[in-house]
Amino acid sequence: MTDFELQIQEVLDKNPYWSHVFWLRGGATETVQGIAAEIGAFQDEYFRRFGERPDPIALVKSDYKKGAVFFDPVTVDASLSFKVMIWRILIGCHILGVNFSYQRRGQSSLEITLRSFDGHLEPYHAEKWWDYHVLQHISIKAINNELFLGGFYPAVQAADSTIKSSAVEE
Amino acid sequence: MSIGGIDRVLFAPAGVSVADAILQVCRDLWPKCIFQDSDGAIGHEIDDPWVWMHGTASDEFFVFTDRTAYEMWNEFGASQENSNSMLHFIVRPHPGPPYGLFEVTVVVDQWDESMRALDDGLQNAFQAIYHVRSAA
Repeated sequence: MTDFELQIQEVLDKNPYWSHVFWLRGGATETVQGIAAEIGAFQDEYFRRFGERPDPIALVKSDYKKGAVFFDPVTVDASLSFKVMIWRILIGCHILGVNFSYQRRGQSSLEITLRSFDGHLEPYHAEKWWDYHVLQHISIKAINNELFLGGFYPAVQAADSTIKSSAVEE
Repeated sequence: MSIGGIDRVLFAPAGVSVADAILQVCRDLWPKCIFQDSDGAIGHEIDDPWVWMHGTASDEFFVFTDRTAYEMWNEFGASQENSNSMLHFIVRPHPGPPYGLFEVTVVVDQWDESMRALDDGLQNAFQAIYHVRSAA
């Protein structure tokens, strides 16, 4: 394994639920290598769009709970475009609008528009069914009865919550 | 730096970036607010990516409602004029029971409409994250 793959393995080891999802998808033999390839493709795509190369592993090291969400199955299996969008949300871009339409046996669509720090609008379109899972992890809240969507929060198993989980089981 | 005002303790789920959720609410309320880590010397604009890449790892920080408030606090400290223009957040594991929670202490100068909106927003945000986690 490369250093990059070892670091991914470390994150997965701390989050057994995620590993389960990857196993359900067809076995874990290629999981770490597959995730590494997905992240590499994301970095290339992000560089192509924004001229910089994001480093999810560095984010894991500086802010574990935020960085590790990039290895959540919803993120890993999202389209490249949605991975870029998730990263943009993690670094603080505003969620400006969500257009979700579902039609049983018909056409469905999901468009999420972000506003970057310099005020540019960035529309992202779901490209495959798995992308719709992103909606599960976006926080929906109200302030003064006004609706706000923001942030991306898959549950991360960290050392602090692990201790409490074991305490619950006693 | 401390404002020594009213302490309000809220609870947030463990296993997510609580600071990120707090800052999202602060930004929704005060779009030009300033973040400062309790160990840091510099106030960062809320739309500075540094805040979201590094600041959200903090478990104790200050949020100033805007740049003017930040400068007033730095120059004059606490005063009647800048009441509630700086919030002090402290995030700590809740010893339990119940387990699996964090305590979020918010220190404000006085309880008014803007602080009620903050309180409401934070509680809604923490609840929302909890539901997001349960659905996953």
